Amino acid sequence: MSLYFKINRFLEQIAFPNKTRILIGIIAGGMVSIGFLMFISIYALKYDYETLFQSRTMPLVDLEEIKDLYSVNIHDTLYDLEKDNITLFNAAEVISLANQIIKEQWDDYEKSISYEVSGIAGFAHWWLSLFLLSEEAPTKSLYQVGVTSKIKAKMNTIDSRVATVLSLIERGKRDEINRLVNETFLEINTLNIYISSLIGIHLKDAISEKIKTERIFQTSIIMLVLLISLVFFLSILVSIVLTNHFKTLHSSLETKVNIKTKALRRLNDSLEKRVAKEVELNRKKDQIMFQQSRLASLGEMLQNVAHQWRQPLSALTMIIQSFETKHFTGKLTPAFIEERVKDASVLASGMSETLDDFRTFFNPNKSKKVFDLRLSIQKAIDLTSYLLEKENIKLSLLMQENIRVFGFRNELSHVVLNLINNAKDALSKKKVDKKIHIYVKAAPKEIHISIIDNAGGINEAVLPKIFDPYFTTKHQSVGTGIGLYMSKQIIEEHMQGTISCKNIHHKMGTGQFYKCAMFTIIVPYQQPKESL
Amino acid sequence: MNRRDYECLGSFNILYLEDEIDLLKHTTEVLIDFVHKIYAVQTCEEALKIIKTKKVDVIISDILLKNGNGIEFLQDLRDKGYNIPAILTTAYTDTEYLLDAIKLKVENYIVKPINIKELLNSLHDVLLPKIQSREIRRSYNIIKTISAITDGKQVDIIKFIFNNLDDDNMLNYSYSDIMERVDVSKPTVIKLFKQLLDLGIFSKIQNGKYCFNENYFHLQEANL
Repeated sequence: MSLYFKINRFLEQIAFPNKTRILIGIIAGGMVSIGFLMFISIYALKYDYETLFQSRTMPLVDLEEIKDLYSVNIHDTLYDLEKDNITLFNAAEVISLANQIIKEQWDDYEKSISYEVSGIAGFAHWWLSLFLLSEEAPTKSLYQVGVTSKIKAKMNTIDSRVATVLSLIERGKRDEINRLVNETFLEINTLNIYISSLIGIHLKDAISEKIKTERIFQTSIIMLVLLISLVFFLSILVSIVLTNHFKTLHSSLETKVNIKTKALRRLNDSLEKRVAKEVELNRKKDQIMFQQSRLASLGEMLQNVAHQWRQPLSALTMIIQSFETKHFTGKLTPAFIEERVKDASVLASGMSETLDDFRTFFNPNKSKKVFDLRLSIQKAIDLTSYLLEKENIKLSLLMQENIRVFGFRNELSHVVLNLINNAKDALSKKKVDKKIHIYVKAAPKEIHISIIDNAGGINEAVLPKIFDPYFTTKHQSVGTGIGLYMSKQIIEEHMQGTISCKNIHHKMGTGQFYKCAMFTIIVPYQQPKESL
Repeated sequence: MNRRDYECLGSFNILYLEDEIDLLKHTTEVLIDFVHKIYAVQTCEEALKIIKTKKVDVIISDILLKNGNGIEFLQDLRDKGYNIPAILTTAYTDTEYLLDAIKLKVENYIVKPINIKELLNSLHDVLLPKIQSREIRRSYNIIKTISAITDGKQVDIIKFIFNNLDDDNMLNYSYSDIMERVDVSKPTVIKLFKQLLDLGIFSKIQNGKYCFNENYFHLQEANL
């Protein structure tokens, strides 16, 4: 198990792609080994079954033939010669032929004995014999060598005896011939016995060869089984290790993903908070802008009030001074005083009224109410009337009586005031017959308030941007770029209406067409059901 | 308030152009006590009509009018050849108007609310040359009349004396010089000088050198 852990530890250290490479390498190596071994085994067996059979049987055949040649040809020829059944010449011819054949056969035998396995089969044989469990017997036993040399010696002896017999027959010495022939017969018998024993040895060899082949076969089988088992085992082992590794990898990835998910969730939470914070900031910014817008209008209104106050103030100053001059000239009569006090009171109350208008206009309404639209618009007109008069702009309001709207009265006045002021600023430098027209149309469900000025319209390039905050075409000291943005906010957020702007051609109550800018406010008729 | 300063305004006619009815009424009420006649109008058209038909000595005009502009109105008048002095009143202190006003030789520029003393002083300043030229013409006429009914020679000598006073009010002429220049007899000269020296109008520094006592008339006036 320690090996397993070692391997496991080792595998854990190496990278994932290397692991798969190792697995593939092991499987491929195993396959190659198995294939190689099978190839070798098949070749070895083929060699054994095909080649070895021939090489083992051929010497036996040769030896048998030699034995037959000696016992049949030489022995029988000598026997016939002894009995004078054949002529000497024939006998000599037969014996020399037999000797020749024997020599050839012996050479064949020796060649077949010394036959060496070569090529792939030889390599396979050599390779497999490396794995043989028992030691291989020596190819030629000492006994076999001894027998072979004795056979050779006997063969030489027989040859020389036969030659001697043949020469003696020529000379005709019969006694000696008989003795020699008998001896030769003995020699031949001995030779036959030797050859028989050599054949026996070869047969034993063949049997041992067969056993060896079986062993090779068994060894191959065992090795194949072992190798396949090894490859199988290694593959399984590595697969298990890898699977385990994948599991750990998977679990580690899972933990990583979990950590990341948590981080993401945290980020998401903080993002929500941040978004909420930004929204809050935005709201505050809007509030600030609303304040700025109010301040800007306040400034303009203050200017308006200043204008409206300047004249009565001048008159009042003059009245006060008139008392002094009248006293100085001695014309200060009670009637004069009474008249002047009355005039002064009228002027002062007018001024007070202006202030009240101004004050209530900038007091935001606390709650939505149903109000008369005409009053709301008229208030805006009143507050700008002086500046319009100064710029020589004619404003006309065309609307039915008694249109009632639900919402913040002053905010709508504020919007109308903004639009009138914008129109006034646009008209201020124009040479045309300056006009502002306000039309109010009551549709069944909503009210359209159109404010048209004949100042030539708005540049098409800036038209889409005019409701953006801080966008202004006026000089910085005059415009803050908030007026229209806040107007839009008020109409859309507080009154659930819409405000839009486009350039049109309009007659403005005259015979000719003017290029005009038209701002349209659309507000729903009444929403008294909405909670306050 | 010095009564005598404004008495001299009493003979002049003023055109007052102001669109604000209250202010027009009250200012007119005040000014009427000081001037001979005041034409209070609200529009440039009315004002032009008055100028064409009546004798107007000075114009007081507001700059911003409902149907016009005081400066343009003045420009129009100047173009038409009326060089009547003018005082502008305005609610604004714009230099833009100020520059135009200077070009039109406007006498003063009064910021509203109008201080009546400032207005009267301005009127006085504007009318002073007229008052003075009127005064000079009258004095001249008086002298002429006196010289016509009294001895002409004495008047000639006095003329000579005042024409030849140096910067220090000194007369550096002997009797004979005077006789030579004015062509009068010696007794006349001696008699005249004796009279002048006795009254203290002149004092003798040395022979042929006399000093004019300017204070003499002032003292006399003060004693009245």
